[in-house]
Amino acid sequence: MKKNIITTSLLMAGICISSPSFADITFNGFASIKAGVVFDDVDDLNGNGLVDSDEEILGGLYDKDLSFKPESIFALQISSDLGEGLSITGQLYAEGRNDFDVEARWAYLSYELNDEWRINAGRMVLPMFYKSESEKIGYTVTGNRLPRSVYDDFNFSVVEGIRLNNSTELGDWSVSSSFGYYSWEGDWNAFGDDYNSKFDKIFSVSTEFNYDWLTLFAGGFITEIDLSQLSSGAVAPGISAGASAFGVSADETNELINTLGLSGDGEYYYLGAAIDYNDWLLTAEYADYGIKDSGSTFIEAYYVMAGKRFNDYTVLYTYEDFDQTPEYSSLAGFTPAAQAIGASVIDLLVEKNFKTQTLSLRYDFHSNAAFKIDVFSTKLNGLSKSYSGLSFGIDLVY
Amino acid sequence: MKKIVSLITTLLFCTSALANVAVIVHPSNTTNMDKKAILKVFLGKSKKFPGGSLALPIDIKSGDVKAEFTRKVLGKSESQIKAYWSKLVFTGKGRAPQVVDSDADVLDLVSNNPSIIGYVNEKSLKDNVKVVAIF
Repeated sequence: MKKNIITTSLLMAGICISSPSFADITFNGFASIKAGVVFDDVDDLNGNGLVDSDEEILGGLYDKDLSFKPESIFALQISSDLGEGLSITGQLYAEGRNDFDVEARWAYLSYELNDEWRINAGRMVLPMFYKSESEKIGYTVTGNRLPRSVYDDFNFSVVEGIRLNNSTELGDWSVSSSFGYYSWEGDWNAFGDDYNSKFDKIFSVSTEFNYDWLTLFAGGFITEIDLSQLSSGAVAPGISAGASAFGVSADETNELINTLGLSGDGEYYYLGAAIDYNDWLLTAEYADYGIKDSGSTFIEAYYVMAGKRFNDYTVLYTYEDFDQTPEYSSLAGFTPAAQAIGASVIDLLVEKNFKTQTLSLRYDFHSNAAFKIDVFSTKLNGLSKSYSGLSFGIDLVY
Repeated sequence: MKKIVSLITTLLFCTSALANVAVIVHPSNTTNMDKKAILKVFLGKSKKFPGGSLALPIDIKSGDVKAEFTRKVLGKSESQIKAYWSKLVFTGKGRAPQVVDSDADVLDLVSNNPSIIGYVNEKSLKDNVKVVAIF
């Protein structure tokens, strides 16, 4: 027994003593230094003394004081090539709107199965919409930001799981796709509080077809969303209070709570096309997403961008639309009193509606950096008043 | 007349002063490649030569010949190519070609490795490499 232990220990010591083969380490990074200002005051449209999400201008990023914080970003990526197709990558990321708290936005092991297939496992950015994965790399974005109608702030954008990436040629077309399985757990902030929430069994597919000047893209994911804490903590009490005030039966109240619960199957889809022909640019993307059979209303968002490159300058005009129009078909079987309560809950859960126009200029003044400036005008909730602002900054890659 | 001749001569010299880019491979590499095939390898869309062997592209860090290659062969500006690779590098989808400092470094690597494909100023060409195309 003793002999075996000694032999084993010596063998292990031998392995430790032999010199390790150092892997190839590559550093890359990107950064954005951005500033913005809004020219108009926020209006308290519903008179509740708070700034609700449908009253925010540009998602509440900027106000009348010029700020360099919200959209400034620093990121450093460290990648180690372990040889034979295996590599490990970590991306440290700090964003102004999160007080520059450093987080690992990507942290994954990658294995090149062959020329066309690669498998990544670990922590990654969910390919929610066309440019979601590269959203924060300002240098890859033509304007000063991606349209917020589609590229909103999602707290579940960084997930853990496994992904198959494929890159292949079909005649003159280049096709790249990814197939992933992920999960997410975190806090969902609503009505001034944080509620634990989960996105389980996220199945995602995204594809891109490119032929010279034309790119077509589409994708989506389905998931099981658990927002039961938010439902029981905020939605159910509201329904119960309304139900008792209007004499709705206990049975019907429970049925209403179940119908308008926020947990359910999440469905997120996007599709679009991009043209880059003789320095003329045109991109359109449409996104449709929400939680099926729940109290929340599906969102439809789209944008159209048109622009032109003039040597190192690019001018871009963007029109974007975010629409969340409630419909009440799930309340069909209920008594009028219950329907009224249900409708007010559905309306309360509608986040926002806006249309924004942006004119931006990009100047590639350096081989690693681009300066951008843009002016925007937005209309909220179908009202005629316009809110406008300006932002500018520099995007770098290194 | 004399003035016109000297003007034409000056113009001719000006045109020929612009770098011609030579795309080169190892002498043992029998592959034939057109612009499209070269473009695919340098954008990482194809990892093989048309004949089926492994293709490893080499990029030059900066300078006129890189600018000419990017414009003539890849058909894009340097910032567009940088954005293209940034998207792949920062989303775990690929790695940009290895980068060297000069034509001499490219010639050195290409002449010693049958898998490597690179580009140099036509004027830098030496006998130890095979020219696939000139742009």
